[in-house]
Amino acid sequence: MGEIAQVIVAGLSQGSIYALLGLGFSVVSMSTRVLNIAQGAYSLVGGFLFITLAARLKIPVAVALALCLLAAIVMGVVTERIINLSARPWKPVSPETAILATLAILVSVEGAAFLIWGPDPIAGKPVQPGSFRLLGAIVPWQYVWNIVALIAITAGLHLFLNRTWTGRAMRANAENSLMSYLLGVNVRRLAAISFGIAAAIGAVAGILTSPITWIDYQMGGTFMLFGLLAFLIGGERSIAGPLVGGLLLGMAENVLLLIPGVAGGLLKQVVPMLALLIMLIFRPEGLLGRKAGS
Amino acid sequence: MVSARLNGGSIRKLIAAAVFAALLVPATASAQDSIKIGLLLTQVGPTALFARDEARAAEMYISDVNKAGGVNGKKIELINLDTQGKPDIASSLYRRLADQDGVVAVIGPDSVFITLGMQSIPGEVKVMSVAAPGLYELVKPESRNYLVSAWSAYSFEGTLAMAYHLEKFHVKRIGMITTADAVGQRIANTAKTIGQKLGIDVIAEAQPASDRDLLPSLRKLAAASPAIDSLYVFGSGPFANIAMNQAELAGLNVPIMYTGGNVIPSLVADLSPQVQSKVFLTAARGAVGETLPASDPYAKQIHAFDEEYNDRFHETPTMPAAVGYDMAYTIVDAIRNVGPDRAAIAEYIWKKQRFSGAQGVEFNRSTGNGYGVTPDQMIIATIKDGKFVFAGYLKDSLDKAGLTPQAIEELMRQEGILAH
Repeated sequence: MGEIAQVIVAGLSQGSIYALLGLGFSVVSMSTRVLNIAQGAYSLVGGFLFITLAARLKIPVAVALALCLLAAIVMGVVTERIINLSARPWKPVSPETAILATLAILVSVEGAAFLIWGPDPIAGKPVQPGSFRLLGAIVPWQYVWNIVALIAITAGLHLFLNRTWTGRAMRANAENSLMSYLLGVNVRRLAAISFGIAAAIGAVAGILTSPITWIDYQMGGTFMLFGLLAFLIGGERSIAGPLVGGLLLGMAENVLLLIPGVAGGLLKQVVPMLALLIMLIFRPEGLLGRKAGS
Repeated sequence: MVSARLNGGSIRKLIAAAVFAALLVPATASAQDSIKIGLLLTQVGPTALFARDEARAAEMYISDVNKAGGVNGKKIELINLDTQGKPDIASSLYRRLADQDGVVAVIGPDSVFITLGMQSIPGEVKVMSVAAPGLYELVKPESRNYLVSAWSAYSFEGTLAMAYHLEKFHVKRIGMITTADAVGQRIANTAKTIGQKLGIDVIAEAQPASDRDLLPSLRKLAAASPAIDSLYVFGSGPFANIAMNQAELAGLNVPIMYTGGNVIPSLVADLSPQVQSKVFLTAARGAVGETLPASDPYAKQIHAFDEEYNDRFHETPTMPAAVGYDMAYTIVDAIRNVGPDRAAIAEYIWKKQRFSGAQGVEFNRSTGNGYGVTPDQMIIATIKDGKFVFAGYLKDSLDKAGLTPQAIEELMRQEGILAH
C-alpha cells in the first residue's frame, strides 16, 4: 500500500510540473498558434535566478519571486518580438520559422546559463521543508506546493481566458489574427501578453521543481520536452488539456516504478515517447483536443 | 656571351622564394624542438568540472617538465582540444591529433561514454591514449592495445566497499539504487556477485539517470523485507547526490556507499551533515590527501602534489586533478625512457611496473589488465564538512572478510576487468 501511495504522490507532484510546463505551451498556442520551443528556457532561468536571489543573495523570498517573474516576462516578450520581427497580422510568422527561432533561443539560453552558473547542478530551497506520512507514503511538503500551484494557476488562467476581455481577445486572435486586427485589436500586444504569461508560468515551474530535481544548465531541453509532451498528449489550445496530459504523464512514469528491480526504471524512459506515439496515431488532437473541422 | 642581367619578374620570384624560406625555417626548427602530446577532454556538460581539474594538473606537470628543460632537450607542447561530449567529434579530433598535429600520445578522453564511443581510433592511428574511464572493462579487447586507463578507483573497487560495510556495520542486506541503463545494470550485477562472495544479499532498484525524484525507488528499498542494513548508490552527478539526500527522507537511516566518479568536494557539498557522516566509499589516497595518516607510504608524495597544486591554483586538488597529473606523467615518463616513438611509448606504458603518481597507487599494467591497480590499494573515505576524509584501508576489510587476492582476481576475471 505504501509503495502505491508513494508512486501516486510522486506522480502527482511530477505531473504538476509537467502540466505547468504544458500550460505555457498552451497559452501561447491559444493566442498565436505558435509552438514556443523556448518555453524550457523560462523554467531554467526562473529556477537559477530564484536560487541566486533567495538562497545566495538572501533577498526576501517574495521579492526574489517577483524579480524572477519579471525577468521571465521580459524574456517572454523578447521572444515574441524576435519571432514576429517581420510578421504582420496579414502575414503571420510561419510555424517552421517560429519553431527554429524559439529553438535557437532555448539553446542560446542554455549556453548563457552555463557561462553564468557553470556546469554544476544546484539545489533550490523548498517552499516548506519537511514531510509527512500519508497512507504509508512519505510526502515532502514541496509535493503539496507543486500541486497547489498547478491548481491555482490553472484556475487563474481559466478565469483570465474566459472572463476577461483580454483573455477572450487572445483566443479570438488565435482563430483569426487578421480579423482581430481589422476589428481594432492590438494583436502584437496580445501576443506579447501571452508570451509573458507563458514565461511566468514556466519560471514558476522551474522554481518549484529545483528543490526536488536540482537544476543544471542542460535542463532547458528537459523542461521543454516534458512540457511539449503534456501539451500534445492532453490536447492543444486548452487549459484542461495540458493539465490532464501532464498529470497522466507523471502518473504513468511513476507507476512503472512499481515493477520490481531495474525493469521499471528502464521502462520509465520509454513511456513518455510511447504515449506520444500512441496519441499521434490514434488521437492526434490530444485527449481533450477538438478534431480538425469539428 | 649570355647576359646575366636579371629582369623585374625574376627579382620578384627570388624575393618571394627568400621570404618563403625565411618563414619556413623557424617553423621547421620549432616543430623539431618540441614533442607534441594531445589533451582531449570533455570540457562541457556535467563532467566538465572533472575535465577542468584534470587539464589543470596535466598542464601544471608539463609546465614543470618544460621549466626543467623539457625531455631530452625538447619542450613538451600540449594540444588541448574539447570532445564537446560527443564521441564522433572526439573520434575526429583524435585522428586530427594523430595525423595533422603529429602527437606522440594523448591524455584522454576522460569520460567512459566518450572512450567507448571512440575506442577503436587509438588502435587505428597507433597513438596511445592514456584515458580515464571508470569502466575500462567495457572497452573491447581488440581496442585495448593503444588504450589504458589512468583512473585508479574504478567501479569494481567501489563495489568492494561492501567489505568495509560488512566489517564495520555487520550488514546482511544491501539495497542498491542505480541508473536504469546498461552501465547501471552491470554495476548492479557486479554488486550481487560480490555480495554472494561476502554473504550479503543485494537487492536493486533503478531509475533513469536523468530522474531527479528518487523517493519512489528509495521508499521501495526502505520497505524491503527483510530490511536493508546499508544503501549502495551508483550514479554520477545529481542522481547520486539526490539519492543520498533523499535516503533519510525515505526512512533509510543506514550507512551509505557510492560509486560513480563524484569524488570531488563540490558535488557532495550540498549533502546534509547527517548524510555526510553516513557515507563510506572506496577511493584512491589522492582523494583524502590532507587527512591521510603520516605513516602512509604515499603521504609524502601526495602532500607534495597537493601543496604545489594549492600554490598554483589556490585550491585543494581533487581526485580528477590527481588523475590528470598521472595521465601526463605516464606519457612523459614513457617519452623520457624510449623517446618520441609512438609504438615504443605504447609498449613502454603497457610494460611499466611500479609506476606511482599523485593518486597514491602503484600501477602495474600488463596485457589484459589495462587498469594496473588492484583493489587492495584503495582506502575508505567518508565525508566531513564537505570534504573527503580518510576512514580506513580497504585491504583490512577485504582481509577480515576472507576475500583473498586470488579470490578478488577471479572475480575481476569474471567481470572482464582482467582478461583471461
